[in-house]
Amino acid sequence: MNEPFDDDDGWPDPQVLAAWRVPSLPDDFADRVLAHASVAHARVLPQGERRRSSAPVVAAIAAALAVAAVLVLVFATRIERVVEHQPEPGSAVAAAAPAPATTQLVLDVAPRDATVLVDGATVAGPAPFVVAELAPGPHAIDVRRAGFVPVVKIVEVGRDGLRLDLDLDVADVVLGVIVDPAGAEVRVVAAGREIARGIGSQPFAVHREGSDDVVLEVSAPGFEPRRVPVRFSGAPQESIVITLVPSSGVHPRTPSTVTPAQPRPDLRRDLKDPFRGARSDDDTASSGELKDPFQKTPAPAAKRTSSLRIGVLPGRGPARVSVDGRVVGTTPIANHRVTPGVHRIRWDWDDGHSFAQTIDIPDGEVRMVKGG
Amino acid sequence: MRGFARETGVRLSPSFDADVLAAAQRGEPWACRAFVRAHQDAVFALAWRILGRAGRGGQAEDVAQEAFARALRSLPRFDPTGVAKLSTWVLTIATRTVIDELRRRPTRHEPLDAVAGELVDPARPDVDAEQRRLARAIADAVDELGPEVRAAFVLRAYHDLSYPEIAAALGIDIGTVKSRLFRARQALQARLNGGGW
Repeated sequence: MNEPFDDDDGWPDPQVLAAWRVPSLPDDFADRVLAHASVAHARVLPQGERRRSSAPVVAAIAAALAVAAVLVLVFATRIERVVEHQPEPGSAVAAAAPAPATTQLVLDVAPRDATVLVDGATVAGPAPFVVAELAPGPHAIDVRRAGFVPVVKIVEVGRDGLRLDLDLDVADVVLGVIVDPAGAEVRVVAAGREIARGIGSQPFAVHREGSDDVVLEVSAPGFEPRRVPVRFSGAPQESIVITLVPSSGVHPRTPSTVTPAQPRPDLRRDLKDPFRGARSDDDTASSGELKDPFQKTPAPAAKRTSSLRIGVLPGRGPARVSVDGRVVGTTPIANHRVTPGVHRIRWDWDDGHSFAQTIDIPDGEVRMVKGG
Repeated sequence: MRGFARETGVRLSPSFDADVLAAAQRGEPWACRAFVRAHQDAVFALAWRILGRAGRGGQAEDVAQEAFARALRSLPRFDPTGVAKLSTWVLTIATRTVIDELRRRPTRHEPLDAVAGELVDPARPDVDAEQRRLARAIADAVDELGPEVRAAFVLRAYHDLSYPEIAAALGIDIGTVKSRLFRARQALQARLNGGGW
């Protein structure tokens, strides 16, 4: 027998394996599981021989319980009579126990035809979903729709009610990773575990089923490795630009003056935008505008020493723009000052379309980014 | 290392809000339902593929139900701060349930034609005859493997478990995992090469 393989390179083509599909489960599968689970749980309780062998003991306990119940009834009747003849301290107690107040939970969900469950019960839709006469306190919400990342969480509903806006994230996301230098290795890590790997700028098809933490680890010989967390915006396409800086202490301005720590020439290829085929070539934000990492050494300063110029691709109307979750205005935005480092930019149009891009901007740089 | 899941798209495992997991561990029905819904597709797919022909006629669904009954009973003992991910923990329980089922009852072979009709998603009319033949070839190759080898293959190729995770799920050492995967790969390659793929 040959030596067992240490990796999976010899597997058949994944597309071949994908041909072996699995049928869909019925919609009520979870209900049937819970019913089955409760029956199965009951089965594990002591029964059979054990019950038969302990029958005399059980009979004795039952008799004792019957006697005790009679005694309790007798004493309870006597105590009730005593209470009837006392002044009315009980009236204050009654007043201190108000009837339970109810409140209201309103869920404005996008997409509007999502399935919403509150405490396990389906709420009639479409959005906004309203649950009236809800007791104040914690309640479980479960919002789902095919093609979107489900939201399952507990919310605290106060006496004044609660209104929540929930935009489900798209489940299938094309994560376009643009790296400089172009030959850098990219590792996609979710929950501390590598789930994909590639060389150079490329798209990764990510199917999200939960709120996993996703981190991109980018490295190249002669450069400082970077770990950049991915912050999903909910849009079907995300783009993230990561620029590595040389690992030596002093960074010359031109590669020609770099000696031992200089990266290999093949790592300096032109950047490729994974979305180039789907977008206009005018999208310089993702490719052409990237500066040579040798030009600047990013400073760890937290000052807003970098700048973003934010626009839209040709054919697109003005969009509302948010940077790192904060609305900064409507395109075109000529000069939005940011700190050096990673920032998430999101464009939202009135027709509901949105686009997001994450950019890693070095200190002192000016970057033009266009959404579409 | 490259697995099927890595090549065809990064599948992120279902993750639970910590409060929901805690509620499920307390046995609150709504949270248990959420727990099942989050993992039901993966558990059923695993059961369906490992059982092979023995899983047709609703058997895979029954085994998936039993796996969830076990998981829900053990859920209070799951440590969310531990090494094992919840999804891997669930798949481990499901794998053992399936293997127990295969050992417990004699394999019931369904007619090949009936099986072939289930090898592809009936909701996908675009899947052509060639795909059906390919699906049948894979299913047949896997069906000829022993339950433990079959389980190692399915966990690796379709659920992207690592070697240590497969070893833990099957209660074997990593060397045995590699050996079983090697045998699975050989069988699959022989079957596919014989079919001209």
